[in-house]
Amino acid sequence: MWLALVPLAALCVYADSIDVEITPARTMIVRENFSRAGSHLIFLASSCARIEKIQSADGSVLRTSGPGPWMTVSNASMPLSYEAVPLASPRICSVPLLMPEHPIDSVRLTITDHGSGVTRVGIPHVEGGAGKWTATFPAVPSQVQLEWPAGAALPKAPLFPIGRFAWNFWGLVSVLVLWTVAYLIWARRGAGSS
Amino acid sequence: MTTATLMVSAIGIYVVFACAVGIWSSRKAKDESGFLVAGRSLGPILGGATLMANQVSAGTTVGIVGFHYFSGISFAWTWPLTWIGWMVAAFFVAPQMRKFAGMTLSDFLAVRFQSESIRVLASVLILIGYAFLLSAQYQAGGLIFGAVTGMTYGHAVLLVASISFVYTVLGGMFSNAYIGLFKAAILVAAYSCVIPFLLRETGGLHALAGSLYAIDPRLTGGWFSVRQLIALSLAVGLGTATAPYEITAFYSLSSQRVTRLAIGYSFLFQAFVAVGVLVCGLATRNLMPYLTNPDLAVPTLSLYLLPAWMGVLLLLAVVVTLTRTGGALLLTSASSFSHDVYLHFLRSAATEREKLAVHRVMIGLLALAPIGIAMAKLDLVNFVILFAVKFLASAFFAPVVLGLNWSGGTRAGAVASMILGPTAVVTWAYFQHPTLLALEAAEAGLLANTIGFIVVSLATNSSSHTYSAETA
Repeated sequence: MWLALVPLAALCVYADSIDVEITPARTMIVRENFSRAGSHLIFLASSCARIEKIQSADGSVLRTSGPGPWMTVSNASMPLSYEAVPLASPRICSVPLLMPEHPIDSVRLTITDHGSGVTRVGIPHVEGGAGKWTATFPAVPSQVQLEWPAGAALPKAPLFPIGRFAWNFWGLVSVLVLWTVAYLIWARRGAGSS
Repeated sequence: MTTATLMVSAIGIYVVFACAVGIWSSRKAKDESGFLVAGRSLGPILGGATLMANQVSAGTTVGIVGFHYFSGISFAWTWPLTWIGWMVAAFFVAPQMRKFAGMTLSDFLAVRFQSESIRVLASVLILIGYAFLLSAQYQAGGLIFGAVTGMTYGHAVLLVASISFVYTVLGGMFSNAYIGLFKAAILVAAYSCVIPFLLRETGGLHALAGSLYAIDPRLTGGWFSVRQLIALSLAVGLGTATAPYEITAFYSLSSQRVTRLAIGYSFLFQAFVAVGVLVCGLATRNLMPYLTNPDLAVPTLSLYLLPAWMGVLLLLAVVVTLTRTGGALLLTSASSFSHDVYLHFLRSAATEREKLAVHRVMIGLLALAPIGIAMAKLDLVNFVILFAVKFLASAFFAPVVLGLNWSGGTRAGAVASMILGPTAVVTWAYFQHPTLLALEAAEAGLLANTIGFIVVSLATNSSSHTYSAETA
């Protein structure tokens, strides 16, 4: 597995691109172009922005489907454009990006703010400032998190099924904590005589 | 400033720091005991950090993050299962070894079984196993440095070897203990920053779990069966209890009581690492679900997802992890030849100054030897590490644990187990048939090691020798 860890800089070929343009009303207009996208794309539903007007290269408007949080877009052809419309003008918003359901070589992300006042791109890590940020990634990020100086609180996210995650996570944390504490108490008290 | 530029600066500062620790430690390591076992002076926290730092290698901070990336949460249960091995160490190995107060694992085996041949056999097995483990650290470091800084693989391997060599050759076990404490601190610091950041960015634990469940329900539990998790943990856990570098760490602690306390503090550090690598793997799957390779999770997270300073902190923790593990491996493997073979058989009348010189020359030679293996890139790093861990666990488990706690163990039983265990692991690996007789290679090796020890010892029981610490 490790041998595939080739220098990441070598992956930066800019074959694929995602351009995010932010309007003064904080609407994100996204244009994507993937050389090997396939016809199915997915995206992670966001609690602060709604995906609308997904338009394929042939001009057809595509619909989203799925129970969430991952949504599916079928019959897509590149290049593709869509709008992410913020709900209630939040101060921080994670904008979902449509992505192919397989690895890609690299993708160049460009974010341009046309006057909405974005102060920071929280994630992924991008270079730039003063209204324009760019970066090249070895895979498509599922979201772009934008921050403005002011805005409403983030709407409450809907709850999706999580299977046995809570039992596993909190069970594991409890076992690790209780084991450590119990052992240290024993080691400090009982083991002293040995 | 970019993450790569910051990282180069951070590595530079770490190299200077490691050299300073080495120079400072060299003043304390004035004789062989000071150099190999820190004068048996380590307290519980420094000792706990040393034990954790020996166990947590690049395979943990990078490889296990990749495991969580592709298989979800269930692999995290290997931590408490592995801790069963630490409990074996706490009850049946560590205090007894500290009471014996040797310098190397071979010291104990030679005295316990009254055989100098066993000393040589153990030293050879340690040299073989640790040469591969060390080459794996070099290989991992070479790939990480290359990925982040653009440095060529060969230069990066040399840099990792140089860092491990410099502080170890100067301060021996003292430097390893202090760098181990630094490793514990930087791992705790890195995960303390990264865990809340990633949970916030992914919308919290419930949202993260929801997105994983939608990708594949097994990511939230059940990817590995209980049987698989036990098999995976067995070799690492029981191998840890008798690992030569952990035995050396037990020798270095200030008392028998401290051995058990130090294991407790190592649990504390390990718990932090366990949750840290878990959250890193799961969050990266959420934020970049389609990486070409799961092992890219940590460099991707550091370079592309975290803020620059946090990414550098995480990468630096990885670099410290693998160079510190390299240092421990160097010290243990070098002493298995310099102390157990050269000084014991050829220069038994050497002065303390001569002994230190021999240890330092041997560390230099052993730092160079695995570079060739690392440059050849024999196999994937995690596979090399797993093979070497299984090999060593299958060599030493029964002779150490049963040798310490069962008076019926004999010299012939020890030799048989030290040959049968590694042979079983190599056989399973050679035929690439991990499920032969429904056993995984580690299980086969440990069974051959234990059964071989018991059966041959019972058959040759007339020559048995009851061990006691006074034997030393």
